[in-house]
Amino acid sequence: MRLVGLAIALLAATPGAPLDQALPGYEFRFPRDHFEHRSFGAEWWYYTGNLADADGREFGFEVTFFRAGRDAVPGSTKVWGLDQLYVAHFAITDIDGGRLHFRERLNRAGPGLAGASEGGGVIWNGNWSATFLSGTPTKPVQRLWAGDAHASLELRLEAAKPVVIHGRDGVARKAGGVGQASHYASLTRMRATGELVLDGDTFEVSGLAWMDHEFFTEGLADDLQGWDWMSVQLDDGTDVMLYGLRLKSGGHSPFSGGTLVQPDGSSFALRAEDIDLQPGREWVSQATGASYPVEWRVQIHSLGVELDVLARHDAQELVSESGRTPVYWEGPVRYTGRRRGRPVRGAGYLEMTGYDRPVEMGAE
Amino acid sequence: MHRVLLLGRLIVRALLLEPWRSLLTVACVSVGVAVIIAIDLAGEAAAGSFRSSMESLQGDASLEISQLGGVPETALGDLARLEAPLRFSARVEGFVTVLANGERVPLFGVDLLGDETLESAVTLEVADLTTLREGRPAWVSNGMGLAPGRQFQIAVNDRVETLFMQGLLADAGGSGGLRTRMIVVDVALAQSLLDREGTVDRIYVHSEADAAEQWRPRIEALLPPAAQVSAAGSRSREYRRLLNSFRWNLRIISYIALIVGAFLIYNSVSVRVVRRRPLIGVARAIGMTSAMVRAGFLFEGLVFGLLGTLLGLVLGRVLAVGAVALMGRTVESLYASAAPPELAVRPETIALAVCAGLGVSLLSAWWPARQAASVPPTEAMAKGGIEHEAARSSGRWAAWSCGCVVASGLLCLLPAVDRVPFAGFAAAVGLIAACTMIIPLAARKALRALTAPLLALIGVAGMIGSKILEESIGRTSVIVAALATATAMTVSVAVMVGSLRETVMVWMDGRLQADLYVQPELASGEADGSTMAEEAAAKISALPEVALIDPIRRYSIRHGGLPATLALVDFGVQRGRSTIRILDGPGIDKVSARMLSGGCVIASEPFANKHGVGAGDTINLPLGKRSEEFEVVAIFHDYSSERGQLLGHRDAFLPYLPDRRLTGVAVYLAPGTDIEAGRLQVNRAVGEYRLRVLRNRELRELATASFDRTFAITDAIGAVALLVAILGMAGALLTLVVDRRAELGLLRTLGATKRQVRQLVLTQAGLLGLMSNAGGVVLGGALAVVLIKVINKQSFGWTIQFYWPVGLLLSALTAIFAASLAAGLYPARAAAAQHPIHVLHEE
Repeated sequence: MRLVGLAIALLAATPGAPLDQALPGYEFRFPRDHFEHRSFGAEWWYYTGNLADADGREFGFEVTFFRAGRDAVPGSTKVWGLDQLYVAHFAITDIDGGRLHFRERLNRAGPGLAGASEGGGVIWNGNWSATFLSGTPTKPVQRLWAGDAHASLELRLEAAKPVVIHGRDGVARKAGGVGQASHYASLTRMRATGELVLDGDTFEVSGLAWMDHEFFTEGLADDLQGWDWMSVQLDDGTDVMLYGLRLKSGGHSPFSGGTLVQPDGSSFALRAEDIDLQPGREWVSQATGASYPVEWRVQIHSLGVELDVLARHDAQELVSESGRTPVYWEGPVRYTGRRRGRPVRGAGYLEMTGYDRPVEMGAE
Repeated sequence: MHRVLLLGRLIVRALLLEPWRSLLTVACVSVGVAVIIAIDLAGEAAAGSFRSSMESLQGDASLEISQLGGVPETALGDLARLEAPLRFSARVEGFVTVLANGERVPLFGVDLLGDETLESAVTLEVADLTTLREGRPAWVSNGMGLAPGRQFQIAVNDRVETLFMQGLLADAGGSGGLRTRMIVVDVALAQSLLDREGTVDRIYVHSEADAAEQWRPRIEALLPPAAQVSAAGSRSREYRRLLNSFRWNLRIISYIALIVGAFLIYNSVSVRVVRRRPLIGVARAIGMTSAMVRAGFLFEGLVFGLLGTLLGLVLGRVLAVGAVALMGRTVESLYASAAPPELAVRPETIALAVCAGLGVSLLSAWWPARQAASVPPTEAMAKGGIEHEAARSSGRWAAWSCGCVVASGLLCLLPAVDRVPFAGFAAAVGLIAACTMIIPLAARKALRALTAPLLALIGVAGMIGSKILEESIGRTSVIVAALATATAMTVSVAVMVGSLRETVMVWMDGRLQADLYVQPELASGEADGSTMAEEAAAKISALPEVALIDPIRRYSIRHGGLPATLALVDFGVQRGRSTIRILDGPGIDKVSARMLSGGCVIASEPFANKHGVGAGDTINLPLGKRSEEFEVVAIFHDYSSERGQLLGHRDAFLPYLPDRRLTGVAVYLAPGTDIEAGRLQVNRAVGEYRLRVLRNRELRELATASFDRTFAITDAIGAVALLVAILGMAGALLTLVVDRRAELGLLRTLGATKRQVRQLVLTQAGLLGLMSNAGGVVLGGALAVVLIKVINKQSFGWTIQFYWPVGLLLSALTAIFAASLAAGLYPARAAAAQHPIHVLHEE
């Protein structure tokens, strides 16, 4: 579950837009489905992960590629047309140094400025890119690069588990209406090795990364305020994706849920009633005044899992420089707890949206 | 110490005793300084700070990528993916006319969505996506009379388009307006407005870490071979280089105005030296050292210089307003649309003024001061020694003069330094020196020869007037030299401009042979880049009234670090009726045949001179490959622009430059067709396009007007120099009268009437005017030769046919003569009004 609002915010409402909707029965095919689906209104690729260098210095990273499209209107095939927009975010958290570096990038497809092409095997926005190098279609090896004048990150990402399809029958439902869902696939465990340059210092880093790829057309339901999302990579080899859709009226929507991925790669969906997400200590943003819970208690009843979630760095609110994307909090977290009584630890990423205001729909 | 003060007081008091004369000298210096200041300020404003308006949105870019015919936009995509701390920023550029006020401004297309570097160049509030997509939004500089939220129309290429004014542009800080008036739109809209789909005109490379240069090889590897990478702002620098020789020419002319002032200071100080010889003798006799005497007279020069400089600074600032307007027009008509010049008095300008004013004053006072100091006390008490010396040495001066002429001749053979003909300038100064040196001898001979005719014509008063001048030949020479130099300046500039004008007219007669010329309606100048659709040309060609059309496409190119033009025409049409005049190379028919086969060009004379290219050489142009070789088949006469021009066969260049749009079309009507009727038909045929159809005569008138505009500044400086000379003349005559008070008084006591005294002084004025005219014509002629054959040729690369604008010269000379007579009127009256007894008594 990712930034639904973002895509919608970039889209002009086009009456009778004949875009495809995320409907049950969709059959994923890779490598094709790693790349863009222009027949859907919104799409994103999220790369997040926790890294450390040989001395144990820890970092979190996020490289995200968003696409917002609308149906092709006559004459819109022009190179510089504004029908397909691409936003990218690049964030590095220096956990030990206690700082966040964030950069946003916005482009139209233009003459090759941004895109996600199966032909080139690459998802890119300017010079930030994720390139599919080798491996199998469902267990690919990728190269990720993002950088600016202050920081750059180059990673080799090797999938340790095959692609996981979330939800049921090819769709992850977000509400009861037709098409109020997304096609959602993840690489939940990728071994990451590479180089991070931050303000002139170079670090040889390694760690675990996670990739989400989601595409859909319908926006967020009207009764929703936002959502909380977590990726969990436990040291027993289990991965979990959890999301809670927050209702404007309070509490989580019954369409919340998640996926559990076993060490062998097999997975099954988690229902809303299986999980319990309890917010704890809050951090207040100076920039927006929003209060974000940076500590959580997570329970997955059917698996006997109890986890304490702790943000590695509180100030992870990402405020768009251009003001063109919604404000959200996204940062690295640590998990400690028990699984059926046995102690378990893990790392991952936490995303929280709609804390400054409801994630809006349909507006530019 | 108090002795120096005494001397100083002696001098200052003397200056105050003769306020008018002092004032005239100061006025001469100040006008001289003012001209230099005005030219420097205006030059700096119009040329020094010259920025091609196309570079107004450069921001903090460090490199720029451009390509003849445009950079393919796909290159931008390749560059954008380069994993480097660089940002790339594309520009689509062109000129459009705002119909509401007729103003021609640059229009820029920028990536309003993705360009992160834009804020370093301009501030604007980006529209929402729907407006951006469908509303044709434009951002406009303040002061263009357009209101946000309203639609407005522009003429662009051969069409009229409607834009929506979304908002105002501010400078990069967002605090103020932009220096250049402009319109900014999204890159997509700009491409369609300017017919540039698929290409951008420029890609800027920005680097936060100042690392662009080290990435240059990687950047170049991603570009098409014909693309050129250069330091950002190169184009402005190239234009400035092109302007450099023009500025030097103006500067030298302005210095000549100061030389005239120098003569006058010299005259003024030396008159005082002569008049005060007895006093100096006394002062020396009672113990004043020669160094103190010298210091005293130098101090006098310094006072003139200081006052003149101060006044000159103020006056110069005032004159600069006019000069900058004139020069701005010149820069615009000669080069390209430029940002409006801004006047700023810099420390350098003040330093220049002080150096020029004080330096010239001290230098010109040096010689008389030395003379004053060098005479022994006894001799100093006897009057007239200096004149004897002058008379004795005139032969030696004449020999020096011949030496100067020879030296000047040799200097003319030296080449220019980066197109600035310093040797030519030195030759001009040498000629002025030569003229100055020969004048004592020539003037004495002339005055002697004139004695008899004057006696016959005017009577004894005339003869005595002439004799007095002859007797004080040293001073007479200085006055004549001053006025002759000023006259020469006027004459030489008139001859140079007149010759160029005539040469251009004759050239135009030969070159402009078509009946009608069609071009985008509001195109202006060479660097404008407006184009028209090829279909419009086809429609004209299909008319029964039209015998033949000759299409042309011009591109602004850069060659050897200078801007130039590549013009593509149809040599198939040219064949047999070509109006191109070959300067060097095979005949035009052979040339045309060669051009049709491609791989070659012909170069205009200014191009050949600027780049040292001759017929048979090869030059490299960045077309297709990084550099493609082209043979220069011939050099042709061309006066259309100072920018050098290359001419090629259009079809042969289309593979490199596939854009088929045209810059203009020359139309030859069928025999017997009435020109007006033909124009009507052509206008009808292309009614859907915004085109201007000019008759041959109209185009010529436009060209002539543009020529005259270009040289307005030169004429203005000439006029100022003349003003200095006339002021100087009045001062000099006044000096003469005051100096000869005793003689004039004696003449009156011996029975001369007031009328005779007046006649005497006016005769002197007339004689000085006449000799100055004669000297001025000779020196002016010589200077004109240097200007035309050396300075202009080296600066601009033009061969100018010598032509004497007789009428203009005659009227100028008459004016100078009349002015010198007029300058004598007051001194004549003053001399006649003196009471003889008082004068004698005083002495």
